[in-house]
Amino acid sequence: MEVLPYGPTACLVQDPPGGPAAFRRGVLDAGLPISTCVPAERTVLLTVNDPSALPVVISALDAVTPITAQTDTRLVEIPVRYTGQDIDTVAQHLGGCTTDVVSLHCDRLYTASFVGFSPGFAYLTGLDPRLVIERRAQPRPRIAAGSVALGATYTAVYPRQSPGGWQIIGFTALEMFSATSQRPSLITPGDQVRFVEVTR
Amino acid sequence: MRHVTIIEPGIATTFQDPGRPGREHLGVGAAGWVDAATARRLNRAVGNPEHLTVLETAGNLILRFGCNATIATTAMTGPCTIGPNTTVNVPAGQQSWHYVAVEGGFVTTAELGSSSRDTLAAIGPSEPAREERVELGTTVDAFTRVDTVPQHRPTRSIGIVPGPRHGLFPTCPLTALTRQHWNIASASRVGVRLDGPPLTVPVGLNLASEGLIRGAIQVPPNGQPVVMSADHPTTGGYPVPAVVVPEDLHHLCQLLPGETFRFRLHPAPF
Repeated sequence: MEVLPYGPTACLVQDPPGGPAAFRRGVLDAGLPISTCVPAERTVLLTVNDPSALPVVISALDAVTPITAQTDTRLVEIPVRYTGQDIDTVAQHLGGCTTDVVSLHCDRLYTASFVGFSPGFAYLTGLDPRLVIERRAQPRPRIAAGSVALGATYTAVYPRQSPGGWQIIGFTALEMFSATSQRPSLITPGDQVRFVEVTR
Repeated sequence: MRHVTIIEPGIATTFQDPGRPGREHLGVGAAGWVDAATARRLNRAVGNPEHLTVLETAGNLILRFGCNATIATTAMTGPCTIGPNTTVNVPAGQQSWHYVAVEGGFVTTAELGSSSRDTLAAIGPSEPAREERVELGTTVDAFTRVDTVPQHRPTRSIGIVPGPRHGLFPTCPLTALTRQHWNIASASRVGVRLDGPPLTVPVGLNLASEGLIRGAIQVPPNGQPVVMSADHPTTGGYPVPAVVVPEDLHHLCQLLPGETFRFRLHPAPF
């Protein structure tokens, strides 16, 4: 674990014990005087309202116990039409056909590592290594809401129309983010996700 | 119903309040007014609690009030009470962001606990449209009016402290940032793009996406820094060598495209 400086009201914790998601739960459980706690791929960003709280938070980090078991984990099932514009590219990369892409993508149970980039965009880990594929050299200016995509070691659903460089393999009609909902982000960090093929 | 009519929506005009911090882990940024100090003092100037919704604009906004109202804008020297059918003009220029506060505040539909429009995430009340009628809130008497409207006092010396990734740059990025003048290339609610001799960026750096904060100076592969403002994305993959100190961030955000400033290094907080 390394604590990197991030101005008078924040710090970035790199490679925390237990990984970012478990460490975040540990930080919240420890009741530290923080205002936000944002897990990402290798880091947890901590911010405070008052600069005087920052040294207090930093000195308490060594005593934080990561919490691996999550009490409110949910399993989210996402129905997908596998008709994405890049599914042939992924099949070629795999040396197989599109049905191989579908079965490899549906076989795994994924874990939401973190949510970032845009509201409700969950980075899902657990991808079959054969589906690991580089992002497109030229990002697309517009990707449709509900696009199911592959990017490096992650898979994700674009919650709303946005630019993006990931490989699109399918679409879901599920609403991934709704600002008016009690639970605005369908997937939250730590949730488990399964993709299910549908044909309509 | 007390109301105001939008005659000309102007440039980048949105409703703003303190924002919605605390949902960054869901990809939802805090948003909120770019220049909090000015917006809060204008609210005080019309007798409002500091957090009421104001209009934020880059200028060319024209409003017509349908009732008596006490208002304060960055284009006026003090609060004033106007009669029905008075037109109020907020021109562009002098500074990047102007504000209009009205006694009782503007009534908008909040999303996720705030009436701030996040222009990147498209959350919060939509941009006001031409001829739109906006309801005004009821007068709050509990707060004392303050008789002055904050005047823009620009500073061209912006404090920075080291950021998380300054050590990844091949040559000290803090020296590169502080030894030269920078121009404002463009500014939006998302970020302020700087123009100057490019920084030397690390080659082959494959940084994992990590949390961003307001004031973070991101350096993309072209070496031209971008300072994160109110609507910044919650995470990003470009290295952050330095952070603008909170007390100077609104000064930087209020500079107009083409204006020049310098960074000066503050000691690291730890």
